[in-house]
Amino acid sequence: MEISLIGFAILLLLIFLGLPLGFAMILVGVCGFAVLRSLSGALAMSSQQIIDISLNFGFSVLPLFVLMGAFVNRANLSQELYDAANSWLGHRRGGLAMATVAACGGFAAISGSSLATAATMTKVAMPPMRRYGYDNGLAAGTIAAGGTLGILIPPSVPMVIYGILTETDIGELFVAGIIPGILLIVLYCTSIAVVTWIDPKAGPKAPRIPLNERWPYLAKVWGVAALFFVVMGGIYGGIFTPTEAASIGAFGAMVFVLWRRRLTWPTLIGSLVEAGRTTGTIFAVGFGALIFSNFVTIAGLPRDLVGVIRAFDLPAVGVVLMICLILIILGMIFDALAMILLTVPVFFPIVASLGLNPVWFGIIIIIVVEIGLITPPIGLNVFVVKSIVNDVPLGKIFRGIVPFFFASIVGLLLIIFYPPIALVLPSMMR
Amino acid sequence: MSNRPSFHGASGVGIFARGVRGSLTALVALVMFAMMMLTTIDVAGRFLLNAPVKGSDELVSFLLATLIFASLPLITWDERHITVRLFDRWIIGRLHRVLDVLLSATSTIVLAVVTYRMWIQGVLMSEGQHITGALEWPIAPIAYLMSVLSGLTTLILVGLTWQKSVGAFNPYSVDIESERVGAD
Repeated sequence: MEISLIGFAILLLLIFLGLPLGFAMILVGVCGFAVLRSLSGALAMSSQQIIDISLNFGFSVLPLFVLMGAFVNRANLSQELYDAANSWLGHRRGGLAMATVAACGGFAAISGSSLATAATMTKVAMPPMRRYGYDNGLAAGTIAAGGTLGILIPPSVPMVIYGILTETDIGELFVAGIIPGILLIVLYCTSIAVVTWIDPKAGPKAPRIPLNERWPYLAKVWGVAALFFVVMGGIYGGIFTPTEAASIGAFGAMVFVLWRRRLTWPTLIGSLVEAGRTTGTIFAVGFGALIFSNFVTIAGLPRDLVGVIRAFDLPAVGVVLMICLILIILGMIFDALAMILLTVPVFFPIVASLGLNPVWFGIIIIIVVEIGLITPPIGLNVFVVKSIVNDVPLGKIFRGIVPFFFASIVGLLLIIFYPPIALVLPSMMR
Repeated sequence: MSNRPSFHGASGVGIFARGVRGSLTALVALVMFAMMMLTTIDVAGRFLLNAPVKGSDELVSFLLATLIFASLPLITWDERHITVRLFDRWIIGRLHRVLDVLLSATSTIVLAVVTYRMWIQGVLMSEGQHITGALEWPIAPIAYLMSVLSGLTTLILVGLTWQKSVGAFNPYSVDIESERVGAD
């Protein structure tokens, strides 16, 4: 156990100094493996791992879902989603912010990325909230928090990575994210209601749109709905494997962009290259993570940790709460991908040894990662919003996040203490 | 796409560098498109004609390996690898640049070793005559391709390291800010 802790310490030092995560994990993983076994064994193991992972058909689900997201971003669907949500919610106190959360949820249903959701919704939702005199902190905070729904509501790139790492069914993970996603939408809207109840000036009402004018707005989002139902319905009904669903989703999104007359050569090539490059970025870290976790495993860290936790004789829920606490602290520094790749190989064996449901734990991990995306000092979603609305100070956005942070914690605790929220839908599959 | 095709200076080198970038970008786009189409056609074939594409899984996995390793040089070139620079704000001035050179050199060495060992694995696969299950294609060539593209990435890292070391000892050079990218 000592050697793996030393390995972890060196790894953290290297990455905090700025060595790319993937290279740092390969370096420490190979060196650690060499210390425990032999250098030639370590080198053979690592290169074979890299080749095997790259040639693993199951992993092709990842670039295909990323590609779907890349097309969807270019289809410019966010405006319709916002208009539809706004027509139903805008006239309430804080209604524009609630509409933003709902639209984020809708966008999340076809995008697997929180950063993309936050980026696209900032452009659409920030101008009207400013026009009606919303508090900048509340407005920007809403978008940053709402954007995190991108990875909880399926499809979700981090869920795919979790599924690959832990050999958990990706389809079940996706389906399990739906109700928690809706729960978080409700909780976020509740916190907006509370904030604007305390300070009505933070979120003034927008004019009410007559009921008969609302339906056409809702009808305009049929494309999003169709794409979601084909992809998720196909997975839910056992018609498609996740890989097949991802390719149908990507193809469908491309057709959708084409149908909207937005498919130019630069759009097509841009989407393809973006998806390819994102895939490469993920795998560069993925190689490192698997090599590093090989080292940690032969060093006996997961086994020893299981022993330590057994020795404390904590109830299973206590262990999960402890893991969440550690991850929330790590999430202040690490981004989503780094967190999952670095910590899941260590914590998952513990969870498995306690006989806990891997799908349920996956949803918990995703929500904790979401919290990490909005907590200072490094909250990537906040940075994304900030990069688009430059005049709002970072501190103000982080203050605007506070109610949503607590809403997320409430959601997390509800799911930890009442697992059916996540598990009822996957249990009904097939 | 990138605003810093780093190897400026001699125009011959610049043209060559642009050519390499362009080819890799085209390869990435092509492979990604092929992957999507192949899987989609496979699904359509299975449902509509009851005739899936034979060995499509193996083709897709070859495409995946190519996609990953063809994008690696581009990501490296633009310094878009995922990094967590926590100590950044406390390291300033000359020390910062020296650190950059050291980190870049470390990445170079790591990747050089990986490249070499992947080639060796390729040789072993070639000697062992490893083939895929359905199409019975040899696996060694794809391992060689991965190694070659990884070697190209290593060369780019050598170039970046060189450029940074020149910058580190040139008081007038502009600091290069690397960006973070989250794939989440």
